[in-house]
Amino acid sequence: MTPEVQTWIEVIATLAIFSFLIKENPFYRFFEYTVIGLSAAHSVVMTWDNYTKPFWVNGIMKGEYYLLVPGAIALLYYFRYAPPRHQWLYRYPLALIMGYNIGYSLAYEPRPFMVQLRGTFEGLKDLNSFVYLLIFFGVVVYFIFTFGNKSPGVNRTRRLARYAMMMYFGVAFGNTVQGRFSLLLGRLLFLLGDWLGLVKLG
Amino acid sequence: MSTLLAAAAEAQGVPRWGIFVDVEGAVSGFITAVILTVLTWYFVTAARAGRPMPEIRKLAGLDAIDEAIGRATEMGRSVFLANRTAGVGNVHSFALWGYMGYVAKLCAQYDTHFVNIAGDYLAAAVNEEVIKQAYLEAGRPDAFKPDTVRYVPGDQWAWTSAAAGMLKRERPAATMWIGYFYAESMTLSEVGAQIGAIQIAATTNTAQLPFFIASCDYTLIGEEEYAAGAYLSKEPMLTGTIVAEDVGKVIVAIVVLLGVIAQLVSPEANFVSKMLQF
Repeated sequence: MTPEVQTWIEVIATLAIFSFLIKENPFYRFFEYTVIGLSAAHSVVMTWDNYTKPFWVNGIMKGEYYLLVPGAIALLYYFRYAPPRHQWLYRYPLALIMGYNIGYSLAYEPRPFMVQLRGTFEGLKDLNSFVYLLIFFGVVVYFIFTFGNKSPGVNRTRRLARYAMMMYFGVAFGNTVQGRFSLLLGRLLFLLGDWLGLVKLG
Repeated sequence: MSTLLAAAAEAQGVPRWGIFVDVEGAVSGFITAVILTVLTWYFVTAARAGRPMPEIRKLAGLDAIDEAIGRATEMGRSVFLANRTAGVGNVHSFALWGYMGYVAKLCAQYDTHFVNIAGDYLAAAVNEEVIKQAYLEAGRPDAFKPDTVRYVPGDQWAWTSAAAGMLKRERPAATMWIGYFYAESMTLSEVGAQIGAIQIAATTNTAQLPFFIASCDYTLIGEEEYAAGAYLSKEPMLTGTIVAEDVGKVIVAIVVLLGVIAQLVSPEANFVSKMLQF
């Protein structure tokens, strides 16, 4: 594919997606379905390359036949499409994956929070760190759902925490919107520069 | 999370104890997990045995769910509930299923079309089960349609463009964005606002909360997502978990308070810091 053809495809796709800002239309819909199809196809290829192929080439073909057991359990998932009286079989691989994920979270998740907890009080040296600490306790109280719901002190603390969080959300909003504008500028530079040649950079 | 894991893994020269890896917080993290597990087990057992549990405080967004479904019923339009990232086994999915069961049951009772857009094929299967069960409880198993759960495969923006397209084409009266969201939050909630849907969001991703707050009518922030899931589902297991988490938060606050005192008295001999590092 020549660079010109590639640019034209990119231009048409960009304009199709931007047309959504006016209204939903067949032009947008065509590219919506195209991107879903491409993305699904990409997932299939990645799954084949990263999981299925190594399973056979590095596992089964090298004599690690025990891998056939989890492989067979995984195949039970297809019973989801079986007649209703056999469908219960697909719940076994599902339950195994759920159990694995929950166990993984339990084993790995608390440790990073120990680092965070230490960071809460180890850097106490100026007013900023004490303000941070005050907000920390306020936010912890805010996210306690079952105690002290009728206490005026607790409710005042929750209000303080809410204001602090809103300030953070405001800052995060502004920051991300700026990031999005930079993405938009990138697209506009492509349209006006690479395609139309109206803008020249450096 | 991965940054924090990396930060913890880089630490060197801390004590190794038994089977625990030579990184910061390996033992204290394990002890924390054990304490939380015991607390959860205790409160879940107590809740199941029918012992009185403290009441979960009312969250404004929850009343809005009934209101949103009522509005959709009056307008004869559908209710959308979507999440792309919910896989099976993560905490967000369990909260999501709490909402889903509740919303689907109400929709079945009011004969309102309910649509779920899933981004994970395993979660899509569980979503189907949850919705079918809710319809059964409402006495309307026939209300489940083949297009109730729509699985959109692929990456973030493929899913988002599909969800945005569906919103514009079908114009639901209510949309609910529940669970962990990434950059798609702004696109989805903006499209929802454009079509005039009443929107309710709940997420723990602090980077995406501002967009939901700006575009949605009600937003449940951070852990409110889980508490609301428990509140709606009325599942003793989830309610017990929330109480256990609250006790855990009080313990965390006490640990930090002790850490602050120890830090102010003698930063070099801060026993809380050493304990957490272990």
